[in-house]
Amino acid sequence: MTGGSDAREAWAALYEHFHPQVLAFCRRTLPGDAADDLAAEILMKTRFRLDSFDASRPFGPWLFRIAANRCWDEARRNRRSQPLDDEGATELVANSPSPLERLITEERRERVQQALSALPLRQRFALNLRYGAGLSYQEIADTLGITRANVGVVLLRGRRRMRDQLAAKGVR
Amino acid sequence: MATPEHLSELRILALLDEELPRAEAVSARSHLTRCFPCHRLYEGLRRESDVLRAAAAPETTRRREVSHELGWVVAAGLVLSLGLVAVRRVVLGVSEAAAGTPLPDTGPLVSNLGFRLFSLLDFQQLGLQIAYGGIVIMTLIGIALASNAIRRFRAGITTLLLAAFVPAFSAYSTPAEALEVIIGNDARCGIAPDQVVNDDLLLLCDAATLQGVVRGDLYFAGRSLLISGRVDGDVFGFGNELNLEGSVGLSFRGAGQTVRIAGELGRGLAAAGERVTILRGASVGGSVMMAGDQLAVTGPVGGSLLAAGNRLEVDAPVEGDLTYRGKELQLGSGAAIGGSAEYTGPSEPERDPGAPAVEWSVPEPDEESPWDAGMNVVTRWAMGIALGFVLVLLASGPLGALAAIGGRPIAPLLLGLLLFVGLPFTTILLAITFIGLPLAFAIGALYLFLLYAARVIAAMVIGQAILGLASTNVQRVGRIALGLGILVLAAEIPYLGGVVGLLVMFFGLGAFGLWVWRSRRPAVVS
Repeated sequence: MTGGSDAREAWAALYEHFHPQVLAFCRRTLPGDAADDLAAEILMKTRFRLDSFDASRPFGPWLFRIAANRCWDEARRNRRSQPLDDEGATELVANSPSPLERLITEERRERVQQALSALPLRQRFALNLRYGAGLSYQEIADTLGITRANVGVVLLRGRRRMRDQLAAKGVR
Repeated sequence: MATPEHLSELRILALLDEELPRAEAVSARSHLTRCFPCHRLYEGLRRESDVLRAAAAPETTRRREVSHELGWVVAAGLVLSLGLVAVRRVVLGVSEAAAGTPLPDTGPLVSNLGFRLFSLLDFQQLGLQIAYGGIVIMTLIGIALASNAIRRFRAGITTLLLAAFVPAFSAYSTPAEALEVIIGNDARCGIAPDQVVNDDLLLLCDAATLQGVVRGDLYFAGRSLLISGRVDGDVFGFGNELNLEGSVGLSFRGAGQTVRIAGELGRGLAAAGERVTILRGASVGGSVMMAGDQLAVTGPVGGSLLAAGNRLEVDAPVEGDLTYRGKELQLGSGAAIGGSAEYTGPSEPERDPGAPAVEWSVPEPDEESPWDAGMNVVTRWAMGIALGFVLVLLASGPLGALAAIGGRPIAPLLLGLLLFVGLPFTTILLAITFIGLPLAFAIGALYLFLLYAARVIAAMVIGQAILGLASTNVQRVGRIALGLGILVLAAEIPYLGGVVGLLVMFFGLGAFGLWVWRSRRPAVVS
C-alpha cells in the first residue's frame, strides 16, 4: 500500500473502526496503564505491515492476532510470576451458569470484567479473543500456540473459574 | 461425565461458538429441541456468552446495545398495542354506519363508548378481545417491569415506583375512598326515608332500597336495587333487578336482568338487560340507549332513542331520532318521533293506526365472506406473531426451554390436563379465603395468559420440528410464524380444529408446569 490520499483515508476509516476494539481488547487482557500505549503501538505496527495482509481474508481476525501476539508478549514479560494456566488445578466443580446469567447491569458488568482480568493468562486471552475479538477456535489456537481441540477446553475452564469467582463474591 | 443421552458442556459450547462440524451440529441442534436439561445448559451458556461479549466489548458498543434493547422493548409494546387496536377495529368493525349516526347526549365518555358497544351487537367477541388484550398487556407490562427491575436495578426502581403510582392513584380515586360506603351485613341495606347522604354513595348488598336522598352519585352492585327516593347525581347500577320509582337528577346507567324506569330521570338512560322498560308515567329528560331481549318505551323520551335487541315497543313521544337494530319493532298509536326513524331488521315493523312512519331496511345477510374468513385467519396469525415477537424479546430463554419440554409432548399434555382443571379449582379455593385473594388473582391471570400464550409455545415446537433449533431471535420469530400458520389453519378444520385448540391449551399449561418444576433442579453439567 502506498502513501496516496485514498490509502490514507482508507486507513483513517480502519483506524476509527478498530481502535476502540483493539483498545478494549488490550485493556481487558492487560491490567494497568500500558494498554492505551500498546493499542496505539499495535495499530501503528499494523499499518506498516499492511503489505503482508492477504486481502482475500477478513481484516479483523488478522488485526486481532497481531494485537493478541503483542499483548501476549507484554503480559508474559510483565507477569512472569503468574502461571500461564491452571493446568495443575483440580477439576473445578461444575455449577449452573446462573450466577453469570444475571450479571447484566452496569455495576455487575464491571465485576465480570474484574473476574475476566483475574483469570490465568491463557484463559483470559482465549475468552477475550473469542468473545471480544470474535476469532475462530483455529485462529485462537494459532495465536496462543495450543491445539484447536484444546481451545474449547481452555474457554470452558475460564468460564467455570469465572463462575466460581463470581459465586464466591456473592454475585448471584 | 455426562450420561450418554445428554450433550457434554464442551460440545454445547462448540455448537454455540459455531465450531462443530456441520453434521454434528445438526444432530446436536435436533437433540436440543427435545431435551430440556441440555437446552437449559445451552441457554445458560448462550447468555453467559452474551455477558462475556458485553464485558469484552469496547465501551461505546455496549451503550448502544443497552439502548437498542430498550428500543426493542418499546417498539414491541407499540406494535402490540397498535396490533390490538387494529384487530379490534378489524374484527369488531366499528362500522361506518355506527360512526355516522349522531351520538346521544347521555354523558361524554360512557355514551360514546357505550354507543359503539351497543351498535356492534357482538358482546361476546368484544368481551373476549378486551379480556385477552387486557391480560396480554398486563402480563407484558409485568414481564417488562420484572425484567427491567432485575436487569437494571436503578432504572427498575424508578419504573416500579411509576408503576406503583398507577394502582395507588386508582385506589385513591375509586369510589371506596371518596364515598360513603354501605356494605350490607345481612341481605338488605339502604337509606331510610328521612335519611340524607350529602356525598356519593356506594351500596353493596343483596337487596338495596333507597328511600331517602343522596346528593351525590349512587353506585350499586348486588341483586336488586329499588330507588323510591331521590338521587341528585348519576346512578350506576349492576344487579339482577334495577328499579327506579323515585327521581334521578342526572343519568341512569345500569345493567341487569330487568331494568325498570318508572320515575323521573333528569338526563339520559343507558341500560342493558334481558328486559329494559321505560314505563308509562316515567319520563326521561335526555337520550336513551338500550340493549336487550325485550325493550319497551312507553314513557316520553326527551332526546333520541338508540336501541338494539330482539323486540322493541315504542308507545310514547321521542323528541330526537329513533335508531333501532333488531328483530321486531312495534310502534303504538302513542308514539311520535321528533327526528328521523330508522329500523334495521328482518321483519316488517308493526304499526298501530296513527303510529309514525319508520324507514325500514333489511340487514345484509350475516354470512361471512371468504374474504372476511381469510382476514380473520390472517389476523389471528398476526396477533400470535406479535405476541411471539414480544415473548422472544422479553423471555427468549424461558420460551426456548418451554419449547424444549414440548419436544416430548406426552408429559406436558397429561400435566396440562390436570392443571387445566386444577388451577381454576385452586383459584376458587384461594379466593374463598380472603387472605389468598391476591394469589388467586395472580394464578387466575397466569392461567388465562398461559391459555392464550400456549399457541406461541406450541408454534415454536412445531416450527423447530420443521426447521430445527432457533439460535437467533429472528429465527425464533420465524419458527413461531411458521408453527402458528399451521395451527391457525388447523383450527379452521371442523371438529379437528377444536381438538387441536384444546390440546394446544393443555400443552401450554403442562409445559409451563414442567418448566417450573424442573427449573428447581440444577442443570446437567459434564
